[in-house]
Amino acid sequence: MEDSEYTAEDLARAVDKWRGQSRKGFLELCILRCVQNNRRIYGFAIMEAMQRIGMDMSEGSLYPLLARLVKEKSLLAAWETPVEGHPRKYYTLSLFGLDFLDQIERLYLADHHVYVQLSAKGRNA
Amino acid sequence: MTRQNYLDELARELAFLPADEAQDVLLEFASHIDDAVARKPELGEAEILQSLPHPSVIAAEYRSETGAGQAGQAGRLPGDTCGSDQEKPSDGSAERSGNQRYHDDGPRGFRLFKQFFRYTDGEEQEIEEEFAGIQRLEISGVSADINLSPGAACACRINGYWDEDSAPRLEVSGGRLCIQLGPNADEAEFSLPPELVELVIKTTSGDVEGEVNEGAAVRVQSTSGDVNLTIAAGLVDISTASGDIDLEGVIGDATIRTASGDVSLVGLQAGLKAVTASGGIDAAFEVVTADAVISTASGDISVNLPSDDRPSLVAVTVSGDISVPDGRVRSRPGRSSCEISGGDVELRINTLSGDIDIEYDD
Repeated sequence: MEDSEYTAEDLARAVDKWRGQSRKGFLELCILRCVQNNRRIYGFAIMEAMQRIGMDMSEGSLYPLLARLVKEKSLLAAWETPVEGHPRKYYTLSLFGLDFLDQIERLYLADHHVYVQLSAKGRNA
Repeated sequence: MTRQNYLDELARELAFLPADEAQDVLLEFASHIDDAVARKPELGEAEILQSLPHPSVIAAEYRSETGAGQAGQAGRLPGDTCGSDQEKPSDGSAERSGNQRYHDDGPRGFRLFKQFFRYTDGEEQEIEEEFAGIQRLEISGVSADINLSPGAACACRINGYWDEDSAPRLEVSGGRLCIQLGPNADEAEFSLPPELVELVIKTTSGDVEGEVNEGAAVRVQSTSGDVNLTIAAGLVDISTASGDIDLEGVIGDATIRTASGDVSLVGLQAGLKAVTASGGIDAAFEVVTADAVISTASGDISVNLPSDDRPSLVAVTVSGDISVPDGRVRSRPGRSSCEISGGDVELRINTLSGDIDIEYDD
């Protein structure tokens, strides 16, 4: 086909597909890091923290992902009921989660570094 | 749609999960909705619920994330939402039996749910006991603070608001005392006998503090509780996820691990392995008697060393700065390092993005 033949929908679909593929692992990394930064945090607060720095995340992605991270033993979860207010489920990083985060963060940064060099080369060419 | 309708619908959609897991998800969404409504009171509940994904979307995500549901889906077709809930008898005996799964019984599931919103209203309880000949003490707790001090005999005092089911459990066998503080203990004080050989503590959010006898090996695991101990002689192994670790007078070999807690070690006379991800590490050695490793991903490291008998030193940081008196720091993009040789033992310090600051006593 001719190089110019595509519709806006084709493009949107391709971008969506790419985003779906690339996002899951990244989301996981972000959530683990967010829990680590906050030491202990509950789901609603994670969503708020991510929204503040520009990442919109739906409840439908966040909570199932948290459930999996608990199942995989990266996160620990505990219900706490304050004297006033409603119960909340707090997440903390486990020691396994700490080591896991440490490693995937390195992998992510290494990948990122590769891409930064690549795009810098492109600009200099 | 009301909050209750939404949660009922979600309960029906989550029928493929084991009952306790589904319960947990429902509680978490109830808590989330409460938070969302409290944060944006101008929107009102209906609008908040409108902004949430449809329960079927949430259920589908749980199905794909947790891989659950293969077994539970058998009798259920998509869209089979079954309008006959209300006619089913809500007989508690059937509820927890069989395969322990929900069927289309959203409202029924909310009995357990209510338990979560009950507040403790009992009277304060106390357990006080003494034990003889205890050499190994194991304490596991949830949120109770744990206070330790050396004493003439092994004794404990536990306070809290528990009922029969959640009362602390104490078990002695041979020279071993095993104590489970349970979820409702608030405070626990222990007097450690001179004959104590090993102390093992696990806690979720309770702090651990006090003093441990000379010679006892100490192992502490904490999730978010802080660990603040004076320890002399004996192996020390302390790990936390987010709790801070403060130790004084460590004479035995020490292993310290934390994800995001800060670590402060004073009066070290031992080998050391201290690792954190984002927490900072301050370590003051009186003497370095064995090889030591201090490592962080992003935390700063500050080390104070004796001026006599200096150890060999290898300090490396990827993007931080290094400051060492008399040491030559070699820097190139992506790595700064400093090596000093000639000591009997070696201290290795490395960090990805933290700064390293080394000082010698005057």
